[in-house]
Amino acid sequence: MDLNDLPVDLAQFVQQEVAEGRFASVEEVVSAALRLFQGHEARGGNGPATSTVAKESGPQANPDELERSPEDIIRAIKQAFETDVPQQAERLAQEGAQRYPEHDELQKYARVLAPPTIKMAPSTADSRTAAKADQTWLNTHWEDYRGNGIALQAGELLHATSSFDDLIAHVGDVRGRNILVTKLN
Amino acid sequence: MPLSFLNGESFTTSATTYQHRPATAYETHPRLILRVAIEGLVTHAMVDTGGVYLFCHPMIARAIGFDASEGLGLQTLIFRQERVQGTLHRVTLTLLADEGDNMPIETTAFVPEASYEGISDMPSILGWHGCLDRFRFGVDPMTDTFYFGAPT
Repeated sequence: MDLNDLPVDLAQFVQQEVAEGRFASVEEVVSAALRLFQGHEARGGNGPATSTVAKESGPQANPDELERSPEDIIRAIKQAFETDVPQQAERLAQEGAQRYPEHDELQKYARVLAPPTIKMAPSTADSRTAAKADQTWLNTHWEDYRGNGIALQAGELLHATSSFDDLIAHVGDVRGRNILVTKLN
Repeated sequence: MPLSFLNGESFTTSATTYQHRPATAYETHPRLILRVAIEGLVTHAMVDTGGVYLFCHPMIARAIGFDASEGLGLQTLIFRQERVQGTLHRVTLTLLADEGDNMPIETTAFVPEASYEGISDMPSILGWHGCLDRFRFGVDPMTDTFYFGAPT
């Protein structure tokens, strides 16, 4: 992209954003600006663009949003994702679910987009030993199996194949069996 | 092996050795690749501090048997400056420890459509927003060790 095609003040802004490392290229700056503008337009287009503000302002409800129907809220959530503002999508989902507690779809949005919850759970000596054995195998052999999906159990190669789906078909349901399945690239 | 603040308060309580290698055949720079479990399936996931959520590879989602009807309808997310369609799910992602306790995280996962070619060669990805930004972690590149723990 030729910056000479842009107004001087805009070209300077773009150059500064790249120079300060906030974006890797001129194209990235322009792409981000376009998304910001699209998000602004999708929210009505009046007043200051709010994408950046929404990221920083926390869970404050816009009065207009509270008047939206469930379908409007779901459309707004999708729009927030499309304009790369997931924080806004999450906020809308939580507020929409509170506003419409009987609306199943909004309840699902709120559940899926809820803030993560974290806890600690004991590991077993066997699982820790198996993990270390797998790691030793990978350090030694990963380059030999590049391009393959592999199944490893406690440092023992169970199967290797170029198709990950074939790998799963061969070893079966590995959930809860402490078998590492991965593709080595 | 726990890590502590200078005042003795715990920072992280668990550790795992990571793989340090390119994530795809066409990349030359090595990535941090961790051993994790997604819904009980043990696999690798790459650390990406510029990403969002857990980006779950469609192959892994198929192996787990994700039911699309349990997720949100088709959504479009921005991934590496591209618009990517897929579904969002609530999953249990577990960081698996070589030392200390495991750390299950109930979090949001994005499963791109299988037709998305950009993901074909990648592992699953631990993004920053909604995933890495929710717990404490540290990296020792001298020993390829990833330290982690729940925030207190």
